[in-house]
Amino acid sequence: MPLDSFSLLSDEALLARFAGGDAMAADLLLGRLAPRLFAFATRMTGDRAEAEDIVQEAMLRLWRIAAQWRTGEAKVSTWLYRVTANLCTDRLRRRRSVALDTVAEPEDGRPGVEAEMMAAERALALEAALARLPERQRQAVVLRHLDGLANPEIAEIMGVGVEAVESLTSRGKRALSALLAGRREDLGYDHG
Amino acid sequence: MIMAEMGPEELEVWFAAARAHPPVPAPAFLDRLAQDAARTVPAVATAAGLPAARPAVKRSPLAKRRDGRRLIAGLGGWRAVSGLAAAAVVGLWIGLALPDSMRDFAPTVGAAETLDLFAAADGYFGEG
Repeated sequence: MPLDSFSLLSDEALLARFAGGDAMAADLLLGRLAPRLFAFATRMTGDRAEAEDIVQEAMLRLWRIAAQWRTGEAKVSTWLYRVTANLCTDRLRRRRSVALDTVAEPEDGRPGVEAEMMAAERALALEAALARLPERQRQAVVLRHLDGLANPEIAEIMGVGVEAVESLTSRGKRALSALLAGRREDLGYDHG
Repeated sequence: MIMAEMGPEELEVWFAAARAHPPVPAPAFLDRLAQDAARTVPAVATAAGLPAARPAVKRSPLAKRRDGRRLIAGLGGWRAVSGLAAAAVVGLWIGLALPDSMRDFAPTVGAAETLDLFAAADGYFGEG
């Protein structure tokens, strides 16, 4: 099958082709999903190396269950987000002894930061503020506002009801707002 | 100093900045993921009861020699193959040169449709 036709297939159809022995289908699935999962895992853990381990494990689990995948029961992306979220939680639990104030923040005066675009600085500041949120709030806010998922899908990923998701995102955003308020002046929002 | 919290619109500007600058995976990491998938394909296909698509494998000289030996054995061994080769050369020579010594046979040979030089080898080529 030509690559163009492949790109029209759903994630589930690609997974079925992979289960039939087609490695090209896996490449396309990786192209679609791995960067999103990596960004999510990095935002959850604040650590690129850990995020790589987590995404690698999540993808391996997907390949291993590909033959038993039952179409229509769950979206591949939702399943992967759920596995990735659980793996992130496991990692975060293991390092719970680490004090919150040791979590990396953007360093003022770090070489090159001044030269970056304002949006990139805001992105860094937001990532740092996200790292200070309680894990469940961070997860809900990242999935809703950075990954753009709908509340029902987030509820499925997190294993909670939609109302709980709304509550978590709402509290997360209030906390973020308070955390970022102090950076307004640095980043051009003192008149906001 | 107490700072006012941000409204949803202002917060959305920060989210948009983060969406525009996501953590990007390294190409080497993506390669590792692709290698994992390629390694898993045969096992997954087997579990699904399907033959896995096999990558093209370059055959070694040893394997090629082994294939040659199997072909010769299938044709009846070295003697049979030598006989076939000799018959092919003789047939070619007769066809091209038609030597005088063969002209006496030509009327009878010409009337026939086939010349069975190796009737004894029929057993090797039967389908049964």
